[in-house]
Amino acid sequence: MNKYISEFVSDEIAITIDISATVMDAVNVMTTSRHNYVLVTDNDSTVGIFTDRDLLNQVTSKKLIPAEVAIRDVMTPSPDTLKTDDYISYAIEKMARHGFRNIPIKNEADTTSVLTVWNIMSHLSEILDDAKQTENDKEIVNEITDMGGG
Amino acid sequence: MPGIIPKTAIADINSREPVRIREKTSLIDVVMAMKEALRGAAIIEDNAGKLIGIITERDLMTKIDHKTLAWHDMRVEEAMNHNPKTIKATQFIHEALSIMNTCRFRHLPIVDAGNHVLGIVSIRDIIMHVAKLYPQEFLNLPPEPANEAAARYGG
Repeated sequence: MNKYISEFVSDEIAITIDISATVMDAVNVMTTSRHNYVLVTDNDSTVGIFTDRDLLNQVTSKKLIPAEVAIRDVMTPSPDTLKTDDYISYAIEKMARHGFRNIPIKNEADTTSVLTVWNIMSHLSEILDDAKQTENDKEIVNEITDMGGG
Repeated sequence: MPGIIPKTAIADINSREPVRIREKTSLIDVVMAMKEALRGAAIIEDNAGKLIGIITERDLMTKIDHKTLAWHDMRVEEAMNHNPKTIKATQFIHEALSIMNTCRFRHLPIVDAGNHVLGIVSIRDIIMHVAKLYPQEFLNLPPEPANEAAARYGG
């Protein structure tokens, strides 16, 4: 049976910065929060996402100074979004195929959380640790298949 | 097929050739090498080709003073993580996952007994490996209703 994203994503509201911010603001927020993403909002709507990879590819490798670069110019606009009642397999597919590590998730209350690659990995790690310790192959097959769903 | 996953050796995962850097390399050269290779980490080797450090895109965000461009001339050894966690090619995928989860590492160098780097395994390599073993679950999904309506890619 397929599992839903709601079982994996935390209730924590995503960290955000306003569209008027600079890249330096984003760096400060990501460093303090220990996240590697920040959502960019305009009037409370998510209009972009910026990650530590964007910092490398769009700013530092171009020899720009973060305080002098507007976030709107280097963010990824209109990021793909999923909902809490979408299947987790969609999120995993996006992470595998597109290399996304953070996917904005629309909550029922119309707030936005972020499903991170760590949400997926901890679950996978638990399953594989259990699988290693059990001698019941059938149990392993069922549990892992549950995670993937289809 | 699914029962195979816990027994998958690291050598059987499609890991890629890492970006290899020497300790005296300047940080701007590291940044350019990572960008060109489209990689999120680089491994640092000594003159004998042994692993002595790793630097990631997160380090390049948090360990640099971004107020000026003076960091361009810093040596990578000043910002890298010394004695990084590693994994052997003969170890299993669940062991890599466990290390990555516990330490929140997105990359693990694969080394031999002499600490020479054979490759690097990333979190994406592992997710792709799992997805490949379950193509019916991950690669033949029906279109997402929201994406289909908006005619966006990724469905």
